[in-house]
Amino acid sequence: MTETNNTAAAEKALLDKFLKDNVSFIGPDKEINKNHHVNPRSLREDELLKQGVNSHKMAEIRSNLQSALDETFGIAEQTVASPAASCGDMSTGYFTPDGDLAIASTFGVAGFTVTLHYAIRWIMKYFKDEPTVGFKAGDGFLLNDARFGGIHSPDQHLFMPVFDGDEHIGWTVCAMHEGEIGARDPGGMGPSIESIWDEGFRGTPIKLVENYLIKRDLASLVQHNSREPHVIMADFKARLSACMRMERRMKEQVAQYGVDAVIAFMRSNVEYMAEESRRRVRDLPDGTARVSMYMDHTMREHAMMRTNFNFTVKGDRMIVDMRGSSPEIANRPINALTTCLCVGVSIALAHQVWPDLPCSQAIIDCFEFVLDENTVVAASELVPTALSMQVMFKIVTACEIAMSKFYYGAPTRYANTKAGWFNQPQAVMYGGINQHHDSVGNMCGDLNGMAGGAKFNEDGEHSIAPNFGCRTDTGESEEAEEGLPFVSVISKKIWPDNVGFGKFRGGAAYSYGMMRFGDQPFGFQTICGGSYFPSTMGLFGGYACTTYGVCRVRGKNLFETFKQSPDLWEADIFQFMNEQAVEEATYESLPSAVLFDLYAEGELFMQSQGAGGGYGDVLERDTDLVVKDLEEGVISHETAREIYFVVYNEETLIVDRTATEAARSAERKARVNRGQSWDEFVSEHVTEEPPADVPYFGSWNGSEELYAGPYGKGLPGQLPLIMMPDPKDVEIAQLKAQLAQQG
Amino acid sequence: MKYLATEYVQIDLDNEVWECRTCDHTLGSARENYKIFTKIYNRNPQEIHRPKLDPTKYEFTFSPNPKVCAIYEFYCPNCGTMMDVEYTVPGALPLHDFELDIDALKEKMQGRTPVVDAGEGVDTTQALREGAHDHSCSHDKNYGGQR
Repeated sequence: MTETNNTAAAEKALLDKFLKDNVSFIGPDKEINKNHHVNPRSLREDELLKQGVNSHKMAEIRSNLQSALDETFGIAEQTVASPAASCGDMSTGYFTPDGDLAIASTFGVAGFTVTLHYAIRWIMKYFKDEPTVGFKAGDGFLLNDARFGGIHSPDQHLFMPVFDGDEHIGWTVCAMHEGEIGARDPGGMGPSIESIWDEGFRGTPIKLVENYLIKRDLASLVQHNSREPHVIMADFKARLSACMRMERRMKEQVAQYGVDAVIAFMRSNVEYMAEESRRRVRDLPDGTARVSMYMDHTMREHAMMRTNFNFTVKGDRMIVDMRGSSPEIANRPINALTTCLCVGVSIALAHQVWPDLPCSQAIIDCFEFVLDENTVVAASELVPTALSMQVMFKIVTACEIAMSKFYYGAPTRYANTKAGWFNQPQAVMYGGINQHHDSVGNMCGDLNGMAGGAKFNEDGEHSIAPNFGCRTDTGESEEAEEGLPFVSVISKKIWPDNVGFGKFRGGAAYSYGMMRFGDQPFGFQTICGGSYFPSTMGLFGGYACTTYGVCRVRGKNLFETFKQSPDLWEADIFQFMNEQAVEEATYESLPSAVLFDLYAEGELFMQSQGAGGGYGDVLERDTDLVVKDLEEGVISHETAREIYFVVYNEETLIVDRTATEAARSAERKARVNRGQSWDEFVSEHVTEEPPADVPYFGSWNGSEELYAGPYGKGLPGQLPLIMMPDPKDVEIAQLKAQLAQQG
Repeated sequence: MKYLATEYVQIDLDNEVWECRTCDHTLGSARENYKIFTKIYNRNPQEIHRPKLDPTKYEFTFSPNPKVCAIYEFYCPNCGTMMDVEYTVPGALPLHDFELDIDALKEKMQGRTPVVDAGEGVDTTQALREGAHDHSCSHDKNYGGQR
């Protein structure tokens, strides 16, 4: 019997080995991707920390490595060619050998490094002992597919292991938004992406660097899959330089303090962040803050896709329940992997809630995420996610708002209580041939010109930084004009009422317009929602931002018109569009997701950055601040009169304070009179089903079933694959039906 | 003891009721959604965010579409302060946006001095100091308590 058992065990072992040695494809690892928590200590780390360490020495190492990260961030930012990374859309970081982010650069976008523990864990699991791969000092892995870690495929990252002799003691990482990766549209995240196969080059971890040298064959492979091969190579080098400098600085710490101290620091900093964030959550009141928002566009058609973010504090745990969010849409790029949502929470915490903490994924170690698979917040690996930030930016805002509520009465806060930061990637993406005869395809740095949310004690900042990274830069119009064939006819113009109104108002945001110059094939596209339904919410009675669209004037070379009417150089979007002064031109106002198209010389493409949410009751706004807004062109007279209820002389802007108080008092009474009780309101306005003529996706009034637009409704997991028809086919069908009706 | 929940509502923990922070009006049980006790108005979003483009010329006017967007405004039934604003799809139930565990809150507030002004409690440098040198937080535990 024993002999039989031994034989069976041997055969099973042989079979297991055969299967292990003959895996035909190593893809993304679901178990790795489901685990955002900190790794258990390694034996080495455990032994060192049990011995106890000198906290002053740890603080010195932390300061030195932090300086090294900010130094290398600067090196990379100044040497990259990617327009986004050169505006600071990047990050550098040190990881433990097992893949926990020990410390990240204070500049840039924390979101890049806080999601790369997945990738290092994957490399350690599949490649560390793989005879054909492995790694040693001087090697580096390139990655851009978010299914292995990261946000979306236009981002590219380089990972380099650091060794002390033969001992692997950590990783250096330089992560950034690269942009152009040969996707269906220029720039890697265009609106027409319909499948993962449209997303362009999908790099699994590839050992691009050996012995500190970029392997030319692999580099050529990646370059050949991009419209910007020169940018790709420049940025490979920038990332490699940054990682090598980080390695050098880490070795200097080893030389100064000893390898044990450096390993102990890395691990203890991870544990500090995990424990400190847990302590901070424990300090909050137990309860639930619920934030629901809508994505109003799939990038091809209008759809009201609900996103639910319910944050529950329970002791020292934070549970983020996202159930009830819209089902995923299999042929649209607005889905997000759960890993991406974890990033969104980390970003909000790192930049807006706990900016004083060192940053790592450890700050969400006490967070738990509850969700339904195959929804926009937990997309499967087979649906496109190139514009996952449509969902991720929502959870950034939701986390800001939820935490502002939890912190309002808390004994200690670490940042200002404030309304939502604008949350749409309101940048123009471009592609084609530039004036230097180079192939280009990327996005303008205007993406970072988002406005800040109003705070509990002051107004939000105008167009200052993106919601995903408050320590970044905004692109310069002149720099863009040097490398791209357009002229910024409207360059960063503030327009009235583009703020979230409130006791304190959200920051205003600028509009801009690009006019094609030259006859090269060159075009534009945009990738935003928020044209039907505001994207960014206010707080405690403050209003949201408004909605935005793309405007274009085509069919005429406006340079010729400008020669005749030079006053047009001063026009803004609304003057162009409302006055329609250019004869024979076509004027169009579109939702903010516009497919790529080529534009002829003199055609004009315009849009606007978005405002931050407002804070508090508009009737409490200081009248002096209302007048200041008027003087600066931030609001209109209609808003001053009819929303803020300020009585003043429109010529002198002198406020009649007595009349203003009377007007505001009357409005307060009017509110009480026109407001309905809960029961009256529910009876008159709340419906059992979503409006029949609204393409609605997600739960409705707490339903367990998810609505799925034209696909009806069903319980999560029981819905069919949702494939939206091509809008052009829909239009053709409508036209055919009209023709048929006409006989 | 009063607990400041938002800019405009607080909880009287002794009586377990929501109150308006502007006029001290008692709204109702703190174990229920405070919005139940407010006056609610269904606002056309275009009254707040007026069209910037001529609606006779364009469908998209930089103004929300009332077909898919409504603004629910929540007022104190006594003084008319606007306590909250919610942007939602017409027909949707108002969101129960903030629900506190009253029993846990009472326990947590024991021995604490309640915050009485929104400006209190802001100390953006404290944790950094703790993390670097102060010896009272969890950081020390990680370092084995030795210095």
